[in-house]
Amino acid sequence: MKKLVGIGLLIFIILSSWGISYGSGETRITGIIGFGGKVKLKSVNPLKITVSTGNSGIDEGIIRIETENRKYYEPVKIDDNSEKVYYFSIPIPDSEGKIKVTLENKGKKINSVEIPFEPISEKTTVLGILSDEPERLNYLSQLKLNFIPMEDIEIVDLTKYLSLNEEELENLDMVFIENYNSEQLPEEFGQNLIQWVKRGHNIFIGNKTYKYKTLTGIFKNLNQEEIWHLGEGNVVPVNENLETISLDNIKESIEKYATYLNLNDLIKPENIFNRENEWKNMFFIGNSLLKPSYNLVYIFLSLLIVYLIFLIIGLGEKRGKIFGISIGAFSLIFLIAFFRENIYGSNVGKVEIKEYGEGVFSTGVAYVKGTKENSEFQLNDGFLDGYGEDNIHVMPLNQKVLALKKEVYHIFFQNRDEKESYVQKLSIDENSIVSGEIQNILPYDLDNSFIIIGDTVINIGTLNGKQKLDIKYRLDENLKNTGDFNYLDKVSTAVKLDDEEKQLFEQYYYAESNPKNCCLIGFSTIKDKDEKTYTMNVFQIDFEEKEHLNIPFGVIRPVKNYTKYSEDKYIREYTLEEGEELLLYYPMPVRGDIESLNLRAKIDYGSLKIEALNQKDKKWEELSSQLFQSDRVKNFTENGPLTIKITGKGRIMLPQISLRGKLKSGENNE
Amino acid sequence: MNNFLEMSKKNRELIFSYVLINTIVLLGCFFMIILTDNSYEEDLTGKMYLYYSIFQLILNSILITLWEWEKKGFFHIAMFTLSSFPHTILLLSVNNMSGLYGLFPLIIQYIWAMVIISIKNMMMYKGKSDFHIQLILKIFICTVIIFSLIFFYYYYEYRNLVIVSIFDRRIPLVFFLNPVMTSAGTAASQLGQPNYLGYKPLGIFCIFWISISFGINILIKHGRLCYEKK
Repeated sequence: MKKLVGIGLLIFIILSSWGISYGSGETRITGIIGFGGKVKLKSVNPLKITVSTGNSGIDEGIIRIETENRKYYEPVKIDDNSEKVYYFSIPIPDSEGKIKVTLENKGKKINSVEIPFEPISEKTTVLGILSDEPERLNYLSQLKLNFIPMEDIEIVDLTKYLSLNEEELENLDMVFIENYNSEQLPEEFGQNLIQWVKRGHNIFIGNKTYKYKTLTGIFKNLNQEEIWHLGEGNVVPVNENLETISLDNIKESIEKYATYLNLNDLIKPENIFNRENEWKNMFFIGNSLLKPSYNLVYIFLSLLIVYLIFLIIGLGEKRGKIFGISIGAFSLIFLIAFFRENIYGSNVGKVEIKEYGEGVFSTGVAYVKGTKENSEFQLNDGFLDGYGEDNIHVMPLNQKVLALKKEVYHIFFQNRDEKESYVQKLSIDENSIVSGEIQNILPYDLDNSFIIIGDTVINIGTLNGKQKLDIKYRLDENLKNTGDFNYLDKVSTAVKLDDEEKQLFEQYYYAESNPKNCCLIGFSTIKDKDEKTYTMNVFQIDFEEKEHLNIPFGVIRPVKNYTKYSEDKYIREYTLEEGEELLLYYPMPVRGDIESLNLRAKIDYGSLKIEALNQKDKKWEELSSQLFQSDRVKNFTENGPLTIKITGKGRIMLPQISLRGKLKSGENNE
Repeated sequence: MNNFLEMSKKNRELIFSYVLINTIVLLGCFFMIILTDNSYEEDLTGKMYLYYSIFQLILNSILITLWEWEKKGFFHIAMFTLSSFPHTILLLSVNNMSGLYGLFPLIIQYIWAMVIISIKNMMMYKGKSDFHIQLILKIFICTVIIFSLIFFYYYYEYRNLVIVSIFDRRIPLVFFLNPVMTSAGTAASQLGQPNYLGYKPLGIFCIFWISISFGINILIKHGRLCYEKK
């Protein structure tokens, strides 16, 4: 008995010591999400996962990430005794869920970790700070704007997150730079930040005590300039020390330079899940993209003719065998050809909207057809999401998906690539005549192309690849005072859009967060070897001005803020109920001085009261024909967006404004 | 082994004309689709599959009345049905459907052809004249395929039925003894129409008609074969 106990003890000691030695070489996995664990809900957050291996490496490893409603899957390979860092971008749906990361090797679970996070609601304003002493800027969390509603504020020390990509940078609303050596910014992050500004965000940068540090690197040219207009956003030097400046002064700058995207982020923040859901409307187009090409049909039809010939031969005397064999053989040939069909047909179809403005932004749905079990597809898109389906694995880093079953799967994708500017320039004169040259910069044809400038649609027809076209057109405002339905209807009849094109255009009209009211639109279908893409291309158009500022009706889109929750989406119209209040913010162009402002609106029915905010006296004034006359215009537009309040009961086609003015001289207008 | 592929010239001509007509119809359909060039039209090819499977069945039952029974007849009729399989495959591939789906119309067609041939054999066994054989067969086919549809229409009107799909719960299963109904229903549910009955109609169709043709064949086997006597 004692012997047995002794042996047992010995075995236990050996086992446990082996365990300890094994344990020292254990593979560890750690992760951190968002901004130091703080996660902005319903948008794309950075997830950093560090894997450190022990004595045994990982050959056929898989990192599995599971959130409340999404699953990601990434094949990895790590040597022994080494550490590897992986950066993922994942959306988080709500505050309840968990994020679980599991590491597997050859199908066996090695380690798993649950990543804690602290949710920030999507309405929270996130301010990014670049400073050597970030705590001295913490007072910014007390910020409250005069005219624009702002909920909680979260401050993020950006120096810790210099690896953010463009998608993740979208979580930030504004960036403040003070007491920071701008030369320290990594090149890629600097470029991403500039791109972020070009898309319509603002950077406020200290231009006093630490001028020698802040105005270096990418911000070097601000030494000569008063302000740097970049695309739709601005880099604004503040001539005071940001650490000691009064909140009132900051407020002024923020409101004055507020852009469409700025206001939209504050009032109606982007929700990636909503966006994905809206793209579900496009599923039906993709199914037809995946149809086998006509090539296959032609091959089959010619095979049928051959089949008939064989049967004719088999009809002769004593050739019965040929007849019988050919029936069997051709059935088999067709069956084989059918199962090898993927050679001819496309297995990946994409429907997308591609915006060429500052960089290229594309959103869409990809349809992949699993031709056999576990088929892999390379999609090459920055952000992929499989609509929460179980039988599809998204590999975000490899930009691949793995379809487990022989089915058609839908995958949402979003891409921000290229940092070039594709904005096309036209000029406009006093008499609203638009002239200039537009170009189809793509090598392939654009079908059914048209130009939209505010309330005017100009039909162009097919634009061949690389074709240039001279435009001289008087803006006749053929879409004047139309509601949403009439607007879409008028555009599609003017351009003769077919069903799919109309659907895509509607998708763009309703779902895009920053749609351009001044653009060239055209449709293209590209067939690749095994990929077919159906695209609505949107080229942003800007007005090239020398001295005068001239913005026609409908180009400036208001950001709406309504007190009641409304299920329906309204873009150009709104139906107010009793006691409801609608606020409209029209971002003002900061490049010029506004001399005259015209406003027009159409009340469909009901009685509505329309007021505008006098920013100088901070009071609402009822709309009248004298309101925006001569000098008074500045009271409404100089210190921020033009704000209109509509109350009462009835339906209104939202007011549109047109602006005239002079461009400020001596500014860098890039 | 050698002669199981061998068929009489008449039967071969029958199969050939069957394939020829099918091919011409299919070419016509595709010609129409290519002419309209509506590459995003989802329904057109789907409808084509549905109507084509009905057409195939009717053509099959018209031609099979001319069939001459030989030794290994079961196999020859299988070849007759199989001869239009390539056409079905073509339509399936255009519709992005599974290849296995093509088996269902084949099974229905085969069973239906066997029923007709069994009846023909029985009447030959009884020594009826060619004229009478053809007449009775045609009446039989018309009753099952066309008249039953007319009865169904009366039933539908009289009962004020609301029908959303071919395989609808409100349709009595008896009507699915009609091969056209079963075939159309299978094709429609393959194309995504709601199916409330599952495989029930197909099951009932198969069981009923297989037992009938078996019964007839047993009857014939136990008697003297008329055409061998001659």
